[in-house]
Amino acid sequence: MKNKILYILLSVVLLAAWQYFGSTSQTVRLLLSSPSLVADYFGQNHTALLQATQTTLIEAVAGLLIATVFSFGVVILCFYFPKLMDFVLPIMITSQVIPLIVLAPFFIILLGIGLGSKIAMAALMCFFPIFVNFAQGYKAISPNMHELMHIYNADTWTRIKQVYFPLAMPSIMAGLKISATLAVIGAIVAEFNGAEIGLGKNLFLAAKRLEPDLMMSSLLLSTLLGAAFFGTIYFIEKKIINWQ
Amino acid sequence: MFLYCKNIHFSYSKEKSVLRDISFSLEKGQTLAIVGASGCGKSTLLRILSGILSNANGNTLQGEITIDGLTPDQYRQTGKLAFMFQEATLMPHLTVKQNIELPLKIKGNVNEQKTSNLIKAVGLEEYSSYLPKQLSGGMKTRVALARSFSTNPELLLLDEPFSALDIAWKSKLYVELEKLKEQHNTTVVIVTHDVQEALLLADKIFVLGKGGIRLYDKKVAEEYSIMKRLNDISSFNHTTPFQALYSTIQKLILVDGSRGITNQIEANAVFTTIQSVAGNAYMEFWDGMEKDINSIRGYSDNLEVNELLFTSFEKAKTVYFKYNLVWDILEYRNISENRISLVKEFYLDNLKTNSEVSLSEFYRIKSDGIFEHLVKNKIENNQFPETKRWIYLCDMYASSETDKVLQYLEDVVNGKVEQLNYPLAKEVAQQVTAKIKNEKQDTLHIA
Repeated sequence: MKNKILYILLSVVLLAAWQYFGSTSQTVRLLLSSPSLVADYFGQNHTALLQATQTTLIEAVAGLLIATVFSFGVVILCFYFPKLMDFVLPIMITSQVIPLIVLAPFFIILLGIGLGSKIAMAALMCFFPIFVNFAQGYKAISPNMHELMHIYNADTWTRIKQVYFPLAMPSIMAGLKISATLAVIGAIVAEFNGAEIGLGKNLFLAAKRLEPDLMMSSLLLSTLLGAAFFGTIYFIEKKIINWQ
Repeated sequence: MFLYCKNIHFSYSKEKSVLRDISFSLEKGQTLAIVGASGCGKSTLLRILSGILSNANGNTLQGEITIDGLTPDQYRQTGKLAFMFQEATLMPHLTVKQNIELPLKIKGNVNEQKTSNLIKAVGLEEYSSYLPKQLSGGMKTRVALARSFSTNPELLLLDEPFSALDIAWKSKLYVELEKLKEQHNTTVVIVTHDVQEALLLADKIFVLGKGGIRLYDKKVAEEYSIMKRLNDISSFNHTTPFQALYSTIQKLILVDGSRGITNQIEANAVFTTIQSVAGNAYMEFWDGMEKDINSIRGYSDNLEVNELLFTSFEKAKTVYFKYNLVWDILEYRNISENRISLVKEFYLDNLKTNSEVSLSEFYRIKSDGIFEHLVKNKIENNQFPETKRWIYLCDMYASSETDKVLQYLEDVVNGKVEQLNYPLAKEVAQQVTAKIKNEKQDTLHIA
């Protein structure tokens, strides 16, 4: 409780400082705008801003869902063919040396300027944390659990359903939490490289046109989007994993 | 015969044999207890019976095992087998009820009545909707026990399931186990290091050692039914059959087993202590030797001889410390043979990297496999190089202070030198005395 009050106080102080310097200093206003100006801007352009947010949200959600389904699929495939995991995991880890954002232009060329390239980028950014966390969660399951399933003659699907998924769930959720924010980053980065609409495009334009009001409102909306993603996964985690 | 095992040999790799020549049999409805020190292969045997361990993955399994006429893996597939681990191994996300009915769910044969009967049998009616995290250790074990019986198993394998519980919980669970066992006419194989537990629950018992079965009692206190034993544990503990078997088995485990040294860290700890004891005990002697060796440097005009003498001393000291003295102490202070061989194994491995002594020498000694006899034989034949060095060095010492050395050696032989009061030291001292008296040399001959 004490910490919460401190956080609120800190936020109020920062906002006040931003407002003060934004009103009194031309430089600060040019670079960071001010809370009141951002609020005004949002009031005047809320339709366009919310449309951009919605687009980025769709891209990020779609990317996260695709990455989740795909990584679950690969891991499940590995359960059926255990040697595949030993083969796939090093490839996955090695692939992470590629700074994924450099692939954004590639996706634009490949999939065009529409949603497809943004979703692909978001999905790519999300895939690895989910996959690796799931794989690690599986590997952390006690050997006795595996032996128990072996003794009860459980088939692979039963094992996945009864043991692997539930017991790896804390790790899966950890991966999803990381990916939730990465999905938003992926979508925005892809939008930087060319988009019709989106928060990434807004940020790109704001930087080019020196529009601090647009930049700060888009930035705040991006932050809210990331926080909402993270919060949703956190909420789901608390609901699902009540046994820890 | 329901369960039949003949000449079971098992190793995880070609080098390390875990089980040797294990043979036993069990009638339907009987309980077999397997006891032994940690690391003797009890759990491995249980995993072989369950079909978890087989000839796959580089393991080697030899011998004949049949369970109701089937191989362990075939038997497992019939669904008539259950296994209880040392840990309860409950699914943390499932309630007590869900955990108990899990095996039935896997079989696609959920039976509400059966599940509730089992919950009742283990006295957990009030806790059926609880998650494992809300249960005590004893309760978790009860859930695991109930789960084991959910499939009406004909064979139940128990791997030290009660080891983490106090005696009050254990007593309750023994009775619950026995009741469920009688109810389902289940054959039980229980692995435990608790001799009392084994004697309370078993119709047959064997003690497993590193060399195989050390004792096999096929009629454990047969005049007392298991339920009778459990109904009055303290009285049973005072009966002659219990007392006799208890002390015999305890002794076997203590003497034969590797109890106390179950891993390399522990072996290293033991060695550090022994080294320290050995070091303190012998340092005094060797320090004296070193001083005199140093003082007689120059005894010979031949620098090469002096250098050889000094090198020889250093090497002898290292070898003696790291190798013979430690061994001597272990050998002659009534430490069990298995313990010695374990420690030696670890120690020799350690020496391979640290010792000044040539690797080939160690490998040779180790590969002989008769390390225990080697030193004695070598001494008898006057071939043991370190003894020869010692004799030689004493001889050097004697060349200047013969009487003093002879007196010292006589004291060693008579057990008056506390640090050297053990058979090998006396034997060596006798040889040195003889050498000094009979072969007193005027010139140096470095071996």
